[in-house]
Order: sequence, then structure tokens, then C-alpha cells
Amino acid sequence: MASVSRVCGSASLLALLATSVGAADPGLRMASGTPAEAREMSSRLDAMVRDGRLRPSSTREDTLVPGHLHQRLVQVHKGIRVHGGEVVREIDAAGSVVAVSGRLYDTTDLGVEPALPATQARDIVANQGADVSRLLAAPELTILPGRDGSLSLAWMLVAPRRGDVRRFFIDAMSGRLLLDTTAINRQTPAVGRGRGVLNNDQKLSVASRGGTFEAMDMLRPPRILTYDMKYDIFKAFFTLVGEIPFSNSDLAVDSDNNWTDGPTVDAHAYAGLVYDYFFKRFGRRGWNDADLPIPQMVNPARPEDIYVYGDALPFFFVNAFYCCSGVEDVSFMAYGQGAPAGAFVSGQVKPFAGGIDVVAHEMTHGMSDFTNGLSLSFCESGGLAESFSDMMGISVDFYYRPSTANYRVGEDVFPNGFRDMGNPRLFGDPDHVAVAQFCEEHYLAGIPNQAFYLAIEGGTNRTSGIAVTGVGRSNREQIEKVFYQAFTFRLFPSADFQDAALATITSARALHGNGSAAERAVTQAWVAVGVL
Amino acid sequence: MRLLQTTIALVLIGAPPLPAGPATAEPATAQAAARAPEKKTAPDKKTAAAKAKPKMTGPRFTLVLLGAFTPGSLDTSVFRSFEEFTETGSLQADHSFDSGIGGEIGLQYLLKKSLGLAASFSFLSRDGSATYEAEFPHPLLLDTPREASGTIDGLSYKETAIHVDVVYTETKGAFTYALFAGPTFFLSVEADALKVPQYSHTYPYDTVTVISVPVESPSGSAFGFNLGGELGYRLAKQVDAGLRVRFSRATTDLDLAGGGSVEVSAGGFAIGVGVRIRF
Repeated sequence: MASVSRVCGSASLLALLATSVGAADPGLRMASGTPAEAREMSSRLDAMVRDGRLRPSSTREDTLVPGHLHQRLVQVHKGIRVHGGEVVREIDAAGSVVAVSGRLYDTTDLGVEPALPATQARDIVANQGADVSRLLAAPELTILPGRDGSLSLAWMLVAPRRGDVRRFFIDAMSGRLLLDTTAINRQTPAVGRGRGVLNNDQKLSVASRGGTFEAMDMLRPPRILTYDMKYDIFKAFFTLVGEIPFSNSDLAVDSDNNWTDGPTVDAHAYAGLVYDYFFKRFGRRGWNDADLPIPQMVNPARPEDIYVYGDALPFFFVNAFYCCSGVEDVSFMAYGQGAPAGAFVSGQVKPFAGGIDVVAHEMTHGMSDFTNGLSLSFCESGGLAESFSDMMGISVDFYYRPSTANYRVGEDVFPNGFRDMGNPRLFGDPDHVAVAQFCEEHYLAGIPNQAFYLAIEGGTNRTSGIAVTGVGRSNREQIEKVFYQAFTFRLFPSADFQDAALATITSARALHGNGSAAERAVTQAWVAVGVL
Repeated sequence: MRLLQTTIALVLIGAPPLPAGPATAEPATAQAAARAPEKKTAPDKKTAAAKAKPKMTGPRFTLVLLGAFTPGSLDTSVFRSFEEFTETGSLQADHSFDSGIGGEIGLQYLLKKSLGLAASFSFLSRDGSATYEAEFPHPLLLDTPREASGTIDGLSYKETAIHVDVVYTETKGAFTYALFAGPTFFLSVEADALKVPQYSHTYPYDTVTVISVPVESPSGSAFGFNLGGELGYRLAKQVDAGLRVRFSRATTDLDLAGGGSVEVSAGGFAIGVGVRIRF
């Protein structure tokens, strides 16, 4: 037997109300523009209440606007409730309706005599694996709107199934399963495992919802949200430029909490670890020190897309970035997908999420954004911003992998890495102000990078030949704190290298005392690179 | 088993010799006489007296009521593993139960002058404590367990048992001594065992604060043996003061909730003091 369903065209709310729903559109959105329009709608809603097509279900006080009430009216058709058909009207302290919102469906001509008895619907649900001996309520006849605008007379049953509670809609005419959704709207913390870009084992803090797992960290103070663009480069681009907001449906998901998508796994795990590093080392709570959510984007493209889009959208391939400095309420990190061997360099470039120092680098840009504001608009300040991100990136690497970490930036994902703090000249970057030739932030980062390195490890600057006595690797925490405090608390958007040198020396004295080994090391390091 | 055999042998060796009677190797004439028709002659009084079994005089039953003290301690260990945050955590708990107190009620029946059977019901209770060391997987970090350790008091151990013994007993003046041995059935052996501690933690979750350590009381039964000795001193015609030393032993594995078991050696030395009432 065919399902009782109808598809209707669209009409305006007023048309809907003028014809008492009869000629209107299922799923018609109701939103009053003006109080006058609201009052007019309301009077017609009253008429529908009187003839039984709407039924008041609740009236609640507005906790934010004193004296205002919100009344809910549910749609009913010949005594059968229309699932999702509901209108809310706001009534002010004077008793006037000031706003109406909701959605109603055209149920004209829809029969309400089921061909299928409830017991048969129950059997169908049982065949879906549900425990019908523990129905949460008696089967209820309802009218279910479909996404295509159709309306179906349906039996609704709610029953447990395999650790979940499911809501089933069975077509009351044909017996077809129309909808099977979770009845539990909750997110609970969950811990999963995954394999990263380098096939490394990772632990993931995620959310469990309705039997699936979402890349939403619920154990750390900020929400760390990893959105999977599923290689849709246009969607990634329009998200980047703000045309498409991140939505829950974009969250990376996994069905069994054993995650296999490398970029998702590493981005999500590393972002958490980087947050932990800043918290444990410096007591900092994320980008704004107030646990602002940390969204991040993975899988913006396929590596081979670089041949097509590499010129137009290079940042989705051999790159990672924090977006967008100086733009309030828009902060996220994105990781390029890498490139096949030969496309960019001779070797394969792996997804950038696979490098913990890369993730920490981008997270630190967020710190800079919310603190020093070091701007790319100024020559050396841009270099300081990049350098600070390198410093923290490498520091995170040493924190978690002390036995294998080094001062090479990005070596996990890019063949041989792309910067070296111990020897910036290996990658053509300056290690001394005397050899700096142009103003590019990553290039200039070589100089403060070298200062940071020398302050910890000691050694001789290759250009100046000046030797530095570092605090030693076992005391690297001293220098990390000096540079963190100086960069986040003392620097400013137009700061240059000399400002950074003075700020770090001041921090060394403040944190470790006048004449301390840390102060000497930092001072010598800046002298060695030609800043002082 | 070897010990049990030895004990039984001891009882047999200790049994009094059979009473003297006619020679077992009768002469041929006597055999012929036996086959001949019985003559109605008056019985020889001496022979009849010699054939008569010795009569037991006095009561055959003895009721024994004792308070008991078990001086030794009892140690058990539990290792538990559990899955949490996708890794395996562990608990190692070492329990020590102190010397125990209990009691015993028994009934002894003399089959012969010195040989009897006895059945006793005993109960024992011990207080105890446990030390534990636990490792809890970190929710955010791999291979970085959080450790916790501590001591928990207020544990208990209980056992009830039935002992069935062969008893050899002798009386010398006011003193009665006895040796006994036999099987023991431990009706119930119940030993508290620590479960995985419950804890609280807050970000960054590097440490845990144990808020409680649940205890379960697995129980079971076991079959073993006992042996011992008893000394009585007559206080009145039918009442003795009694001192008893009993060693009993059975080893059993008590199943733990969630899998695993704890091995318990039930019994031990028990020293009992009380009264023996003959009737």
C-alpha cells in the first residue's frame, strides 16, 4: 500500500494563515518581522487553537527579558500531532504578542487511519535490532514531515538498541522504516586511539554522540575542534574566507573511535598536547588565556590537487597557517595536505598536521595574535612572530620527545625540514643581522631563532664567531620561560629585534635573577647574533 | 596426604592392645571337639571371663566448647588489571590479616576406651589491612600512568569449618590428653580484597586523588585436613578444663568480581581454651 504523503509548494506565512493552512506549504518557516505582523499572526494562531489545529504545550518566563513569556503551540491534525510542527509566540509584560516564530505543515487531506497496527510496527522495530520489550513509551501515531516536503502518517517508537536509545518512525500505511535516529542528544567525553601521519600511535580526546565519535576535545578546558574538509578544496577556501562557517557536521568523525585518518589524528592529538604544554609550562590557557575554543581544519585538499590548484591555493598544500591575525572571533588553524614527491620538492611532503612542532608553531601564532600582536606589517616584528612560533614549536618537541627532538623545524613532514635554529644558514636564513638581506618574516626568523638556540645550547655564532655559554639542555625550561614571558607580556606589534633582546633580558632578570646564568646566556646570545 | 597417613598410623599405634583371650591356634583335638556334638556342660567361669570384652565404664560422649585464638597472620595478594582510556591500568594489593579469634564446638564419641571419633564446628575471624599500589592510565597521554598508593584498614577475614577426626585419648589421674587428626571442610572462607580505587582528577590529569577504595568479599569453600592435641584437667566428675591446639589447612582460590582470583590459605594454628563436658 502506498504511503500517505503529500508534497506541497511554498507559500508565505500570511498566506498560510489566511487559508488556515489549507493551501500552504509543509515546513513553512514562520518569523514575524514587526510587532504588528506578529499580532496579526497571533490572532490567526488563536483561531487555529480554537479549531484544534494548534494546542498550547507550554508557557515559560523569559529569564533574560523580565516580564516576557514564550508560549509554545504544537500542531495537531485530527488529533494526531505533527512531528516538529510548532509555533512560539513571545508575549510582553503588557500581554501583547511581539514576535512569532516556528514551522507549520500543511496536513490538509492527510488521512489518519493507519493501515498498519501498532503491534506490527513494533515487530518491524524489533527487526531493526531494538529491544521492544523495553519501549520507553507506547507507540504513538504521528505525522512525520520528510526532507522532501512529504508528510507521512507514522508510528513513532522509542526503544533501546545496543547502548543507545533510538527513535523509530514506521510508515503507518506501508510499514516502511522512515527514520531511525538517536533519542539521546548528548555528548560525552571519550578517549580514542588513532594512527597519525607517520603511523604513530596517538591518544585522542573526543566526544561521543549517538554512537559515533566526533573530533571534539571534551577533556581539556577549551574545546579543540577538528573539522574535516574531506578534500573539498572549495569548501575549505570558502570556510577560510568566512563564506562558510564551520558546522558540527564538518567535525571529523569516526565510527569505532579507532581513528585512521592521519591528518585528523595528528592535528587533534597535537593541538591538545600543545595546549597542555603551554598550560603546564607557563600556566597559559590557550590562545586568549581564557580557553577560547580552538578550531582547526584538516584535509582541505588531496595532495595531487596541487597540480591543479597549487598556484591558486598554495596554502592548502605545503603549508600550515593560523587564521586570521587581528580578526576577532575568527581564529583557527589549518594544515596543508602536503604534496606528492616531485610536485614541490623531490621528496614527498606529508600532511603538515603530522608535525607536532608545526602544530605548536601555528598555535603560537594564536598566542601572538592575542598578546603581542607582532605584526607582519613591520619587518622585524614579522620575523619575531615567526621566530617565537619556531621557539615554542621546538620547545614542545623537546617537552614530549626529549630524546629525539632537535632544532630542525618541520622535519617530520617536510624532507629535511625547512628551518634550523642551530644553523639557520643551512636553509639560507640569516643567523646574524649583518647577513640579513631582505624583509621576509620566515627568513628573518633565523636571527632570533639562533639567539634562542645559543641561549640554551651555547656555542659559537658562525657569522660573528662570538661564543655563548648556554644554560644547557637540562635547564632549557629557564630560557623557554624567559622568551615566553618576554614575547607574550613585553612585546608589542611593532617590536623589533632590539626590543626583543631587551625584553628577554628583562624577563631573565625577573625570572632568574640579576646576574643569573639565564641572563648571561640570553645577553650573550643577542650579542652573538648582532642585535646588541 | 602423607601427613594424614602418619596421623592415622599414630592413632593405630596408640590404640590399646586387644584384651587377652584364648589362643588363636587351637589344637586338633580341640577342633575335633568343636565339631563334636555340643555337650551340655557347665561353662568354665575362667574361660568365660577371659572371653568377655572389657566393658567401658563412664560416659562415651564429650561436648567440647572452646574459645580459640589463632596467633599467626594471614597474607593474601591481589593483582587486578583494568581497561581505562584505551590503556591497561593495574592494582597490586597486599592484604595482611592479623591473628584471629574464634571458637569451636565439638562432640566426641568414644568407640573404645581410648579411640573415638569427633566432629567439630569452628569459626574464626581476623581483622586486617592492605597496602596497594595502583597505576591509572592517563586520559590524554600514552604510556604515562598516574600512580597512587596507600593503606586501607578495617578489612576482615572469616572462616567456618567442620573437622572430623579420629581421636586417641588417654587419662592419667586428673589429666586427659588426646591426639586427633582428620579431614576438614571449610564451609566458608571469606577474605576482603581491595578493588580498583575510585579517584578524582582534574585537568591536566597528571595526578589522581583516591577518594575511596572499594572492598569486595569473595568467598568460597575448601577441603583440607587438621591435626592436633588436647589436654584436659578434671574439674568435676564430668567437667574438664580443656586446652586444645589444632592445625588445619586448606588452600583455595576465591573468585573475584570481574575476573581473577585470590589465593587463600585457610586455617592455621589455633589454640583453644574451654570446657569438656562428658555425658
